[in-house]
Amino acid sequence: MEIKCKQENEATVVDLIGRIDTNTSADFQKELEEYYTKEGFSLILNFENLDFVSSAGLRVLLLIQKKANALKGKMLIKNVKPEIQEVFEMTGFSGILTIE
Amino acid sequence: MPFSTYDDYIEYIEKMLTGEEGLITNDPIIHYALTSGSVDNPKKIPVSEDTVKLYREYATQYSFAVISEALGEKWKKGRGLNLMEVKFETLPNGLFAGSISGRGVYSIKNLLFLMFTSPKEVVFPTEIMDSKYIHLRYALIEKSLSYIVSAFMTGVCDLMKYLEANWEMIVSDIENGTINEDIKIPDDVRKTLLAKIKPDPKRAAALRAAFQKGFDDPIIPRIWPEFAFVHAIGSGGFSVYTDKMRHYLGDIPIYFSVYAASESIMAICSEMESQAFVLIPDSAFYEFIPANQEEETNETLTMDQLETGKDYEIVITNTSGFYRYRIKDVVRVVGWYNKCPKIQFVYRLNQMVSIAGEKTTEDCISWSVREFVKEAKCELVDYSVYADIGVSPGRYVIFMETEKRLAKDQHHEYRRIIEEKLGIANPSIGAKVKSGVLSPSDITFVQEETYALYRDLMIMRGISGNQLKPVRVIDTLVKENFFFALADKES
Amino acid sequence: MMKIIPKLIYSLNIKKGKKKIKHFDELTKNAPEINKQLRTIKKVCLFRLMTTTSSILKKC
Repeated sequence: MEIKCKQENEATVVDLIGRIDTNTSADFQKELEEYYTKEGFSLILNFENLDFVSSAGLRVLLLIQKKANALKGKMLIKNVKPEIQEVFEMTGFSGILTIE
Repeated sequence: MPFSTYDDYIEYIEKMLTGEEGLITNDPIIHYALTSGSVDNPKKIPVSEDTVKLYREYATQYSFAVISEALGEKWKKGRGLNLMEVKFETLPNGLFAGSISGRGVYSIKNLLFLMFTSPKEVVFPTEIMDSKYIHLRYALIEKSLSYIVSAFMTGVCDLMKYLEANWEMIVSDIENGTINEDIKIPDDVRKTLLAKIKPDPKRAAALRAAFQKGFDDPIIPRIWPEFAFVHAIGSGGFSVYTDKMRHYLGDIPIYFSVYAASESIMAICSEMESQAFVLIPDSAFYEFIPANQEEETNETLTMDQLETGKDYEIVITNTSGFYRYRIKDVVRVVGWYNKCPKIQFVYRLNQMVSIAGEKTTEDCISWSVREFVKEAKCELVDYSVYADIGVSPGRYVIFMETEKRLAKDQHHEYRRIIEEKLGIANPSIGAKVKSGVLSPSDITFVQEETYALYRDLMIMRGISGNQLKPVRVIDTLVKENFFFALADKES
Repeated sequence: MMKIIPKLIYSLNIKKGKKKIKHFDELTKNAPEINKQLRTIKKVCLFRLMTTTSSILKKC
């Protein structure tokens, strides 16, 4: 998996390429840690080139969402492929995450 | 007097919640127990002073005396780690609603610090926080920790998994007298907690040395040399978590606590390590309906009419105003203590799976899965059963998460094993598959961390971590969608 | 000091518990009879439930 972070105004935009699964979720969490632990953070995850999110990846997304709730931050997920969107809907994540 | 269920009391309970008294009992109600089973609308079970007293006498005094007699001097009686959190809401009548185990903890709130390591900020949380970290942070400082107590074994097991994944951070915090910035705690609580912490480089070094040797050998006796026992409900459907805990505990024994519900404490372990519970004769009036009884009847048996080896649905008339109440549990008589039956929980009536009248219990599923794990030589994380009626004829699908992904080309063999084991556990399944009434059973592996994700989600929705029970039956659309979406399509 | 107090609390609890074990032992020797007594008591309550009105209940 590749992770590219860039700053756009107040927000950190993260382009994700490949898969977030058991093998890559720990790196994904670590790479984003510096952004989602700040008070009032704003994180935009671009899923345009992301093919797969496993349970381990969903746990990291849930963790970031919890941090967002606690630190008055925001996480926005954009350009989700239909197969990942289906997983979000079936697992109830679409009601928890902000997806555009 | 006919049997009753919770629905028969709702009307009265709603009035009681607004302050009316003497409706279902003249005994004063002092608490409302929120049941852990339902996420959307938990039941509020009235609890009288008498019921609380029974809980106190048996679940704390009696049980600790049994442990003390069994362990003698091995239990040095240092402080324990208590995972029971108290999250109460105040009702319109001014009483509290919350878990019954929390009520017990609340009643000794002024002694907590003397008995347990966890600070009151995590025992009485006001907001969602990283409670596992806080419990461990304080317990690890205490070299002489004596035991862990939790409502369910799931909570203890999750805590140890967290320790395995995060020990470096916690040890570093102990060394420096800090709480890692990433740990989610409200600011005021962080400030209060930090005021109680001092750097402890000596303890940190000892812990680090123990953790660096890995978790292959039991870790608990190495970090807490005086650790004497775990006190938690861990039999039946919880046994997969108990097995995991053995790995952390080594020879340290478990006290399997009680067989209880919000409505009553019904039975208790009279011995360390025993998974048979002695019915408590003065906690409620008990009636029993034979589990294999085909027709509905009002006739019941009393405890002296029970037979060893047979299964019975339990009906209680409790000390809080419920009469001939069907709690929907089926128990098996496994022996006797004087004239009192020793029982084991077998299954919940509404958790029993039946596609074509074959009535498969949690017990059958649990046995089949354990046998599967032995034969397929894999390590189990968790499992559930799903009655698949989307195919015709219907079939059983076992959902399973294993520590390591199993070989994809062996799927046919895994199906064969689970089919065989289910057929042995419940011969009616085997017969119905042979005669074409059921389709052959199937097995679906879910992605790694799926069950942990489910628990994370429940906690996010406000369920207390130590109240979470394993998902044994996929019986709602929400669970069905969740587990199907996370099936491991690559295995 | 910190070690003595938990010991004292546990010892006190265990002392009560040991009495409870003895009591429980006695109870279980006559368990069916003791349990049936609870039914007799509860039958009175049962009557209260069936009458349903709160005012009558309070007089019971």
